[in-house]
Amino acid sequence: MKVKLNSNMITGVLFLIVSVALHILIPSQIRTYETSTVTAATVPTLLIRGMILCSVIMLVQGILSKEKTEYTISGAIFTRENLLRLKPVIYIAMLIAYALLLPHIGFIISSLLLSNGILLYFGTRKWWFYAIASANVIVAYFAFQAMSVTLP
Amino acid sequence: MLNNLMTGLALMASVESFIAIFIGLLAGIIIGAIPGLTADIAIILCLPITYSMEPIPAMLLLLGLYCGGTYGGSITAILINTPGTPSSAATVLDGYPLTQQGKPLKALTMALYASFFGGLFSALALLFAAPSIAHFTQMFGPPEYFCIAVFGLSIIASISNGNIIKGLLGGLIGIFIALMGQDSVSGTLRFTFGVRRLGGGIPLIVTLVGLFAIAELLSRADYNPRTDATRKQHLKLDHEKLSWEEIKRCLKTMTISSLIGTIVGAIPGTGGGIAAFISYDQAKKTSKYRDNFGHGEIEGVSATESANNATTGSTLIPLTTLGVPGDGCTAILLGAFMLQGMVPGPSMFKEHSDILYGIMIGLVVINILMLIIGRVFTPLYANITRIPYELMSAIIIVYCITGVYSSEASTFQVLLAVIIGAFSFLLRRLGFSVVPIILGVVLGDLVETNFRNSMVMSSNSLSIFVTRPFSLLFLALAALSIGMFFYKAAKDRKSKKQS
Repeated sequence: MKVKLNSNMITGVLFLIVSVALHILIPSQIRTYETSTVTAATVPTLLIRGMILCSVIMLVQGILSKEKTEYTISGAIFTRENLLRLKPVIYIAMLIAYALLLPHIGFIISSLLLSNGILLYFGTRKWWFYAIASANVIVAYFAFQAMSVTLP
Repeated sequence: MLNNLMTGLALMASVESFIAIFIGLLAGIIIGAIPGLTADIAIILCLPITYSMEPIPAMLLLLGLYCGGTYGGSITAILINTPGTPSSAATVLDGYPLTQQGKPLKALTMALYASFFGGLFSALALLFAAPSIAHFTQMFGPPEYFCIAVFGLSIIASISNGNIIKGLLGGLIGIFIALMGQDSVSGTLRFTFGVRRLGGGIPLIVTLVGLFAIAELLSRADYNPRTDATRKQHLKLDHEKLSWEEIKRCLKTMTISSLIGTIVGAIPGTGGGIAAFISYDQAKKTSKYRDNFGHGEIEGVSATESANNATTGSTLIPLTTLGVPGDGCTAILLGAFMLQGMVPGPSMFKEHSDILYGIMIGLVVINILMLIIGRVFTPLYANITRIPYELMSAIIIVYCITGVYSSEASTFQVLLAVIIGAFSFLLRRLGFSVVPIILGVVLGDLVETNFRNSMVMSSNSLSIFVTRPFSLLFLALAALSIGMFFYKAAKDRKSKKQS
């Protein structure tokens, strides 16, 4: 199946869903007991309504625009092109894993794993790059300790 | 006045003061250049050292950190598209494109000269016009603050890469991020999604590192050191120096931006970030080279850097004359003054005028020394771009994460920065500019708090914004700013049709 899309259409749909969901969530996410006309919920409500309006305008702009790219939706998900697009996802996964591991294994070990992992991710073969990145972790640790920042 | 100046100069001119300034500046520049670490942190860290020092060297050490930190933030903004401090967020707009063109030395030199110019302008304003500027800003109340913030937000029109709706949506997202957590007026929790640690909101530094640094690293995730030669960080550096012609054509911009920075800085609760964006917008609208803004225009760098450094002196105006700190840094400096036995406020000029004049003259010296130190180190900074990208990213990420962690000593903030980074990466892919988002984050709280206070003042009547002269003036400026954008867009369309 072939579809014609542009970034305004994608943005419009995406933010319309997000902003409508946020609007629905306002009563449960802002439980205010204020009795005045302007409360803690006033500005966020106006803001979210503004986001809905912008999303609709963008969607209309996108639909009316002649500049669209044709995409083919097929069962061949695991093509080389699609897998290459997933590279940033691997990077994000490394960073999330780091943030989750940090309190458990400490700054030095987790940072050594992350910085060497990044070099490995880029396919670096120069051993001294790994040495410099590792030394940098140790330097950062002691520099921050010297500034009274206790790292985990 | 002359007598005060002479006494102040005599008190300031000591070896101890010069050593304090030198150490403060050097440490400030280094700390400011590390994404996640700001001048506030540097001042807090050095505060205990000043207990045993004489008042003038103690305050000059802290002011050296403040000025050095504000300038240092521009180094990473120019070199790696990551502002070291929030006040350098606007410098990435033209600073980083210059680095991409192989001209980091030119951009760094202009940032240094503009920082010096703005800082000196502001220090002199503090020295000669502090009481009159303080009297002027004293007339501002919540409606004026709200209208200043609206004027700040109107800049979105000219920095949203041609799609104003996308820019507006970005600004709204930024304000939404700023409003998450506990409401400062009523204490109500907002959009915390049951996560207790979001109660305190998202710290600005976490948003900054996520939006800029992590998103930048992710956007280059497909970099390949072997095959992707065109995207190598190892850029061909030209050693083209900043010409006298370029400095001359930026002089008008630097003067106007310094004036804007000085006025904005004198208004408590604003700061260098807002001043830099307003100045950038003004420079873009009035420059002959306006079409080059956003693509590596040296005038853009001069506007933002002179404006943010021009707030360093003027934030001290409400502090010394009214006892009201202008931003986070000056709030800490307020404590430092008190530790030295001086209570900032209307009586300070009477009770400690000699020390105060010594400090103000010291601020002028700080800016001159900053220029000298910067001249020595700028060529070294420029060579940072020679580091291969894969090694650079492995090094940067460690400092970004430790900087984020140190803001609240919490690993949760690190996770938050990564999530914001991934979100920012997605927005970049969808064609968003990150700058309107950061503008929304910086101005969000100012907009809401002052809107609500204005409504209380006026019994919910919006007419309060148009019946007070200064609020009306700022609203008119906002309308003019947006109007000029549409006028220019219509003119461009017309000339395109004709050609």
